[in-house]
Amino acid sequence: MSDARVSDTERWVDEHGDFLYRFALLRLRAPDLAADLVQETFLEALRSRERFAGRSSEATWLIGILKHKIADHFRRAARQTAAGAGSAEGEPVDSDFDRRGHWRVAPGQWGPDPEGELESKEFWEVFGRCLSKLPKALADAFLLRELDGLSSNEVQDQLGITPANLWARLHRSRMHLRDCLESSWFGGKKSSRHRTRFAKGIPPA
Amino acid sequence: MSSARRIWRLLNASCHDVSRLASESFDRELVGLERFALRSHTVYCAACRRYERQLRFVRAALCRLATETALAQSLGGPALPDEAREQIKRAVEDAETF
Repeated sequence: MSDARVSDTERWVDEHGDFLYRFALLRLRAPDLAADLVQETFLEALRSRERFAGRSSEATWLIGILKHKIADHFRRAARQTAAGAGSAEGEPVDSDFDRRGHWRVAPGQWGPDPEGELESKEFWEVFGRCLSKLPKALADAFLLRELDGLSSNEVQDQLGITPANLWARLHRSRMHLRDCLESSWFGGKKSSRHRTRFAKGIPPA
Repeated sequence: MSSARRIWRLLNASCHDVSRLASESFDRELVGLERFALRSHTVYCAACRRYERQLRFVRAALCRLATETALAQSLGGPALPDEAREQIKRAVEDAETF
């Protein structure tokens, strides 16, 4: 043990703690649990740091550990609650449509190059906030499917829900997320908002 | 719903029905008639065509988020609370000195 090593781990927490916590919170929706898993992540990193050897960035290495912890948590939770069932929660998607099934407000134009937005740091800031607005029952299903890349069957098994229920949750999640991105990012930004490209890399004040 | 009614509904699919099919097409294989309903509706309905494109965009964004650390680092949300930060630092230092 040397002072250099101690301050090294302190630096870890200051440098990476926030983003790991945000990511954990996005998945777990429980602040104490999120902080616990972040702590476990740092402890595990400490134990295995000889094996790290700088093959990836420190941040990539740490988030990799955290993702394993989150997956373990979901698997444990799946075993404990045999039926996480219930109906899909959240605002009914139906509100986007009138009684005859027409759009109340049709999806807007997202500009000539929406894919270009993925290069903007500010876009991801908004994206994170939109994801965190999804109700937990929707977010669990949606992020297991889209972020962890599980198949529909795997997500159904893990959450103990029927196929129809899963599809309804995914549909609602996509609808919510699309609506949020349109109102918080694509709705009349462009000219007004400055963008920071990752390549140039200077976050806004 | 009886199968005759289902077929009738698919042949007269509304934007609401089509938005659901567009989403489900990512999660399961649509049956022939559903695929037909989705494709034929989006030929003439610009709003649903746009919707489908935007869902693909959202998927692509999540796909990148899953693999690129820099994007996860940029996500908005609350910071690690001070109390938890201090607790984690103590735990890490204890483990370190042990």
